[in-house]
Amino acid sequence: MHWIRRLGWRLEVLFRKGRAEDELDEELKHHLDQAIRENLEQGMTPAEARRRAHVEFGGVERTKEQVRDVRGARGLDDLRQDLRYALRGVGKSPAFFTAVVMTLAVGIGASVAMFSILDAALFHSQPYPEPDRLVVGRTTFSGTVSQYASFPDYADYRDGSDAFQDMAAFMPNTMPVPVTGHDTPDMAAASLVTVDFFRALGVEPQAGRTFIPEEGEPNAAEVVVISHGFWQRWFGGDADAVGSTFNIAGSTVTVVGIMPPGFYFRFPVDAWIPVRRGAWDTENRRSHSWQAVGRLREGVTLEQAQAQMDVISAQLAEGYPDTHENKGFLLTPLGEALAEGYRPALLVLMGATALLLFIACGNVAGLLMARATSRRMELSVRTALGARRQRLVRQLFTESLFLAVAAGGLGVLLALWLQRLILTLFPLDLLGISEVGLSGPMLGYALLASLGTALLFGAGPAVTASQANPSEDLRNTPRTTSGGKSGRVRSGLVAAQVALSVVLLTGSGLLIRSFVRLQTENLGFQTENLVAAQLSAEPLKYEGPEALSQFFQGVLDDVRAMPEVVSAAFVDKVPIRHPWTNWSVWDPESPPDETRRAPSAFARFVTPSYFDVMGVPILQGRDHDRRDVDNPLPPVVVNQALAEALFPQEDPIGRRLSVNFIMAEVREYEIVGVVGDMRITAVNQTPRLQMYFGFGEIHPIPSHSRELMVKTQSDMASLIPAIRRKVRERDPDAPLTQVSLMTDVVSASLMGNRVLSLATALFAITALLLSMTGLYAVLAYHVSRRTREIGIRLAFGATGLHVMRSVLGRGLVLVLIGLGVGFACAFGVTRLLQAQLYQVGTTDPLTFVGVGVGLLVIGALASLLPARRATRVDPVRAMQAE
Amino acid sequence: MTGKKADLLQGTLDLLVLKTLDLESLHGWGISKRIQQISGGVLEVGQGSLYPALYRLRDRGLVKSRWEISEEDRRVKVYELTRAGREALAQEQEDFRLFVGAMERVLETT
Repeated sequence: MHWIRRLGWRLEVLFRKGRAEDELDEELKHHLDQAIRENLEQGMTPAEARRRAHVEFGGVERTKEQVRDVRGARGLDDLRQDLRYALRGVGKSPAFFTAVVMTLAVGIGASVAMFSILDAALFHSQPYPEPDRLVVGRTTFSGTVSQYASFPDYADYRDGSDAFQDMAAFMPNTMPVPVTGHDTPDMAAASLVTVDFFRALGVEPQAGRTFIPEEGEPNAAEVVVISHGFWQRWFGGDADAVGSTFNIAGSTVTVVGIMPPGFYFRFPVDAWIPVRRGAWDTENRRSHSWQAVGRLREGVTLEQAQAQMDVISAQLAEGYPDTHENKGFLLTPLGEALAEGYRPALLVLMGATALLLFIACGNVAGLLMARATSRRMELSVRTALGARRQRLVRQLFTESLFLAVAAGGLGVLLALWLQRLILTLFPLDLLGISEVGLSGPMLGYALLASLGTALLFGAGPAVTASQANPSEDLRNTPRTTSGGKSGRVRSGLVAAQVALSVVLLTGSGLLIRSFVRLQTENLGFQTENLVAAQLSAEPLKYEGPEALSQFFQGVLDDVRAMPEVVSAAFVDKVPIRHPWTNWSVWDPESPPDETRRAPSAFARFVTPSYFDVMGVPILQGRDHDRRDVDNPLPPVVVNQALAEALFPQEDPIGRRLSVNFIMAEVREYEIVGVVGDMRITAVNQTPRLQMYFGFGEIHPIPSHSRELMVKTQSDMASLIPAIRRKVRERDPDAPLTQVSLMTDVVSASLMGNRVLSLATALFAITALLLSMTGLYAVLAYHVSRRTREIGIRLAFGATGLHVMRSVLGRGLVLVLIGLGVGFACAFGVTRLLQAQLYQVGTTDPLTFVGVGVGLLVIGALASLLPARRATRVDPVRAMQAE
Repeated sequence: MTGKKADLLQGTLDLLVLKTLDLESLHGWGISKRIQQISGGVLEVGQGSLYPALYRLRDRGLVKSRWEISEEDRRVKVYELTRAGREALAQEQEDFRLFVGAMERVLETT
């Protein structure tokens, strides 16, 4: 029961502090009055009586403090006083305060922003229930992972094991298909999936339902599930969408379900189509165009499932020795698979951010240490006057806390702003992130780091300062010490900062050089003045290949007739932007056998003059020709690499080429031309074997869309609407989509590299700035401490140059130490960047030398200012100042 | 020298206060005077240390305080021993006697 009363006292003291203080005053006053009265009675003078009374009482203030201590009232009161004191300190030296807060805020902001994004990207980017049970299945050939699997293989893996609750398959690319029958004709992105796809992912539709097993049967009704976005865009959010029908790629389908907004798997999809048993490309074991995604059964581990897959792989190898030898099925957790392409880059950024944070903390530590040393005097005085150590430490603690909180708050705001900036630059929705919040643990970590720095380096030295014998401190002039130990620590900090900056600078330098190489790489074709667009023909309108080719040819003629157009052609897939198919090829006169496997070549379908449009030289023979339809053997144009691979040192013109088409059908072609190599898959991929067929040749995947490539004279912006108009004139229902300049297509493919180099460059420059300010601060401090010594030297005949040289030398020594350590670390660290670099070695001498020279120059500049100030020391004044 | 005295005093001050209040409830000045009389001058200097001791004892629940009007028509804070205080007094007195006895024995042997 007594504790209630205690609580009452505590609260009373807290909230009615005034009254409690008054009462204590009254009590003590009464005591003293009585004592004075007694003294007067004993015959002392009033002054004497008062004096004796106070002496015998002891210190009134001290008593009050002690009582306050007991009553536990100190806390809030002290806090308020500490805060006031801290604010006053800010007012007195705003520059210091701003420097510390800004530096810490930058460090915290960058770290938190980066880490939150990475956290989301690498660990939380999947909006599916229990995402850690989802795995992706891909084929491996002798250990190398191919992105795809074949459907019959997938079915075997699915049916032959019990590790999965569901295993679905999907086509890893969307097909652009024309849609009509509701709104204006448009193109939609369609994805072929098995009927258990949504069940495996575990996501419920927003309206209607997902597929039922019956819909996977050969004669089932044709149904689709549409995305929320497509429903809004094309169905206008119509409430009756479910159950309605529309036309997709020539077939009438019924909408059975709508997925919720934000549902996303791998890529943006408008409509999911269930694949039916026996449909095209589900029967061919050698056609790898599917990917599997499965949900592990409760309690089954990835290793167990993988083991089962391996058993089935062995069985398949036995059953199909020609094709399935060394073929495996690799299971990867979904999150890992998604991030695979980006993981290394993101990790690089993570590393850079951590380094930046350390450098920022280092700067702050240096600043705080300098301040603590200069306050030694003040603290000594206060200790001598009776301040208790605990109180002083608590006050400095509060000051540092105040700094840390201010920096933390600013840092969080900065982090939010930075995040938004990063998301606009870097299309992270590719990773499945739509928006990113601030990661809690990361925020805590960054605040901890900054708080730790603030407290350790702010309050720490102060604690040791207050421990020292105050009388000694007061006697010693601070100028005789150069802040010995603290000065050494600070110099060490600067050297460390320089080292870290070196690592960042070399890393970013390598990335930039690599990016420049990519940008200036010769792609084998002309990218300027080239427009690419996708054109689709309404299937119902053009039935049969005749009508279709007539339409396309008509468009081509119309476009070619335009005055500003130099040339135009069709190709089935634009280089760089779209993935390619490849088939095995061989010389029919020396077919492959067990010892020699047939190589595969990338295949494209083109109209005549495609090479002219792309600016690719025809090295031998000729281009495709419209008259080729009459040839006995269909013609093919090959690239130089293929010619040299299959017909080394022979004339390939007129020779025949066997091609293993996708349906395991082998066809023969006559080689009519050889063209230069093109980089078609990516900027950093050397050209492989390539072959070009005419559109007259029946494409295995009948497609109503082609890519129109137009070579223009100049000024393409105005031309694009004109082209659109021409197409619409010929057929108003044929949409022209994905219109872009070839230069933009190439640029977009390099987006990742660009962002990475920019980001690391930004970090590196910030790090450099911070380190150099740190260097400057240390040297300036050093000069200010040594003013007397410098004055003496100048008085004794040293020239300004001597003094300057010594200061400069001191600075450069620090830079050199930092460089040495930094380079040593960089040699190891840059190896991690290997995957990101293109034709630039991890120990590229140019970059390293550049960084070294640059740092020395900038370090010299940073040292120059304090050095010059040292020469300005007035010897007389310096020696007088004590 | 003063420091040592004060330390010793801390430990025994509480006991002195409790004993004083056992005889009669008093205000701060009164307690101080009474201790002076009984102990013969121990509390000459540092009377102020009485007050933290009083508040500490109050915190522990061994004394309680109330405001009264004195004979001179002044408001004074009077302290009184609680039942717990009385028990504590008995206990601490016993502990102190044991302590003193042990110290005397040790000092006598040399």
